[in-house]
Amino acid sequence: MAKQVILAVAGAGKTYHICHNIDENKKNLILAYTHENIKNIRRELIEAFGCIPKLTTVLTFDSFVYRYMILPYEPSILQFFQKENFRTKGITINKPAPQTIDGKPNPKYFSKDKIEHYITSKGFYYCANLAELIMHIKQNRNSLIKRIASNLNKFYNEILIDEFQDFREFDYDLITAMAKEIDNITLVGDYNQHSVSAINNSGRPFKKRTTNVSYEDFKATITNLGFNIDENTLQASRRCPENICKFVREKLNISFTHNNENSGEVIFIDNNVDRIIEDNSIIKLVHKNSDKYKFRAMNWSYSKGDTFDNVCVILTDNFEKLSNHDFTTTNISQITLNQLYVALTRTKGNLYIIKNSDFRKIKSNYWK
Amino acid sequence: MAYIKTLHIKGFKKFSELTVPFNEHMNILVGENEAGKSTILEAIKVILNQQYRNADKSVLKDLFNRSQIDSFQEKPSIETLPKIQIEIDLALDVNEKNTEYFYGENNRNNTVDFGIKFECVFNEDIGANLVDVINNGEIPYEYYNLSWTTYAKQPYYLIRRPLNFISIDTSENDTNSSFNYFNRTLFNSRYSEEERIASKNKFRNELNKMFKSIELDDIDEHRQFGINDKKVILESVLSVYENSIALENKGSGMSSLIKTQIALDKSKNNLDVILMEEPENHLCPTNLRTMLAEIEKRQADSQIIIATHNNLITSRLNLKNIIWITDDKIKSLNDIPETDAKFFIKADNNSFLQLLLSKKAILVEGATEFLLLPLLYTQITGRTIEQDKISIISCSGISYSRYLGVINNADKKVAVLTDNDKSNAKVEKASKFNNENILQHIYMDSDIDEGWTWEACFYKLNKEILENLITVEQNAKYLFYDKDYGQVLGKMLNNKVDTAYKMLESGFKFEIPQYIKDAIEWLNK
Repeated sequence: MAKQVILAVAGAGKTYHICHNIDENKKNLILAYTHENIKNIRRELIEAFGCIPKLTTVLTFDSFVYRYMILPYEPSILQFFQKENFRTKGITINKPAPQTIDGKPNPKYFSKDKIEHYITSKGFYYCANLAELIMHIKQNRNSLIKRIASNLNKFYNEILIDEFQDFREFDYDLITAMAKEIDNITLVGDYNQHSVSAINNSGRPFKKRTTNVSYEDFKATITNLGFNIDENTLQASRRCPENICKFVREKLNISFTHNNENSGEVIFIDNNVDRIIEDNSIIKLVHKNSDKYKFRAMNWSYSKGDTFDNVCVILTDNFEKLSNHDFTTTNISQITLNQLYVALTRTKGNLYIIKNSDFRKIKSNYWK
Repeated sequence: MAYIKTLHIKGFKKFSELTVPFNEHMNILVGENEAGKSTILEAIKVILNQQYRNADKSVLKDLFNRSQIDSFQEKPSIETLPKIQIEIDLALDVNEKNTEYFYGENNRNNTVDFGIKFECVFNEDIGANLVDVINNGEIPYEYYNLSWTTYAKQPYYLIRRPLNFISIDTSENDTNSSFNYFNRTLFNSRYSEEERIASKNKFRNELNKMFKSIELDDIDEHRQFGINDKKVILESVLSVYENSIALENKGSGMSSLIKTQIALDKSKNNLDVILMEEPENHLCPTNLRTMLAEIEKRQADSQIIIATHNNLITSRLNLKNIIWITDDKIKSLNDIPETDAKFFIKADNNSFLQLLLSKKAILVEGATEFLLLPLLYTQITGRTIEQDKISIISCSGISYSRYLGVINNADKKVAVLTDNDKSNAKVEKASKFNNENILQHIYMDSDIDEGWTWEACFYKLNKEILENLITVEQNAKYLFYDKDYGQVLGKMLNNKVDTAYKMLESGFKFEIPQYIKDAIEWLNK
């Protein structure tokens, strides 16, 4: 097992793989970013074992950090800031005061060496700064995260983190620092789905200053951190039919194969667009503002993790030429490409595609 | 294995501060009455069973430490208000479910460990406007908060209990509630959650079904009787049966023996920690031995914490396991030499506990001295041995050096009264011993010809009285070990206890051998 990163493609069954490969008789910790992920993991575990195995804990990353990294070590944290007698009361999802407002320094901002940067005066931890807080506490060579992680290592046979590509900045730093002390840790994620979720779309490890980090650079970074990279186990989609995989592979330049018996075609719709739009058995994936349309629709990025029988993707102007054989992704932002990748890979049947130029003609008929 | 490592008490009942380290398996709490044995057991129950969780706050009056209340009343302020803190350090297995829930730095030492903390402190948030009341010296009991948190700063609930724990209390007055507690705890630890839920569910459904099947007439057109689920809770109607007799209906002795046997069967009942308060109560000597044999056999499976006043229990379960509560402090007897501890396990008919719990003691050879010494003591000092809190302990065949060995570190003044057995070497050895030891002295007559034993010493000084008191048969020789000591002394030696009893009953004032006077004088110095 040791330390490994499994790079997966959409629909390869990341959650399935995590849940079916744990040793149910040992202590496991499974972490994911969102409550939606957690729900999927729990469902998959019940599928695999009939119930959540007694010794397996499934938590969102934030509650894990708060409950198993912050609270047990609160005395060390308060001592670091020389506030031994401060009484904390809980956690808040309110955002801490930003450093600047409209480019001007914010007088209410507390710098990161002050406890107020992490905890409100009333004693509530800022959820957004939990990881930063832990990473901040170090004296000489002795860092809190190192102590915490080596203790966690005693408790868990394996730590698994799903949707690794969603962790950014201090969360990402925390995971990599923690991984150093953990004997068995498995991170599962899809590089091509990074920056797709509505939250956490910037910064480390996918951005260095202002440039995006390429797939190869990303791999080099995590190899340097001591991880083995597994690009084989989850390279084939258990969801998308062969034709869809081929299409995505060719158009988006992503290594993406199929491992299923599903059948379906890529169908560009330029006639009778209304017929498809009005067929509510086919979900429409739009780039944004899905709630403004009368038909059954979802934003590209929101569809992450979902599977549908048939899907209709409505393109943006960037992709007018998607059906042409000379289509290239140059000049299209990585984030937009990743979002489209998510949208194109939701179907286990047909993939209908409508160009924005065609959609625009009839769009106003479907405003709510 | 899960067990209690340390209990730390601050401001609870008689203890202003106390740390009790426990052994992994056997622990024997001993101490005089009121020493705090029950308080220690209660502190464990307060934490693990969340005792007082729903109690009326008026109970706090009896839980606070007296000296804390006194210093509050001397200088009333929010800062000086009494508070209770109890912490329990646990040894838990990292591979078991949920143990990380108990692991963290939120404890008195701020270092990582497994444990649970109980606090009963004034809640400043809700009692903000009480400053005047408090400054007047009133303790606002209603504004106290009771909290149970793990060292990971997570709330502790019974459902998350880190170890299975049962308390067998034979001194409990309310036997009904003690049985309910036992039955419920056993039911919970014996069966898995799934089994319990299934049985409760089935019980409820079948009960309802059964009642309906009786087909009683309805009360009237719209009303009928039915079973109220809230009134029949499975755990509260369960009893343990042995050969179709409910435990409650057995004698108190038998029922506590059976409870102990059940509790000790770890492989079936999964109890990690067993508290026993005075298990000797209600048990006849034979059953007490049966219980002890059971405990000895199983003690490596669980952690057992016993509070007792019984000599037999303490020696049989190894003197090294004694946790001795004295002067509000804890002393472990762990440094008793292994060989001595083993000796007392076999020679369990001893008075070690009595010796340990006395302030001062006189060790004597046997029944003769034991009978007469209280009288002689009063004759010399004008006081009784009870007044001076002195115990007289008869060694009855166990060499006094065994007792001195095990009591060596107990800070206790012990005088030994013994015979010189006509040996100069013995006299010299005793005097050397007395020079080397401050708290333990050995006294014997130095005359090896005429003062070689207790009887000889008395005969030497009280010939006239004894010649009258002890009637002898003419021509009888009264040889003692084939030796002729004269008729009277010979009869005294051959009938030691009878002689002593006669002397005691005679009302005569005997001349007392000097070494006995010396011993008593030294003891009272």
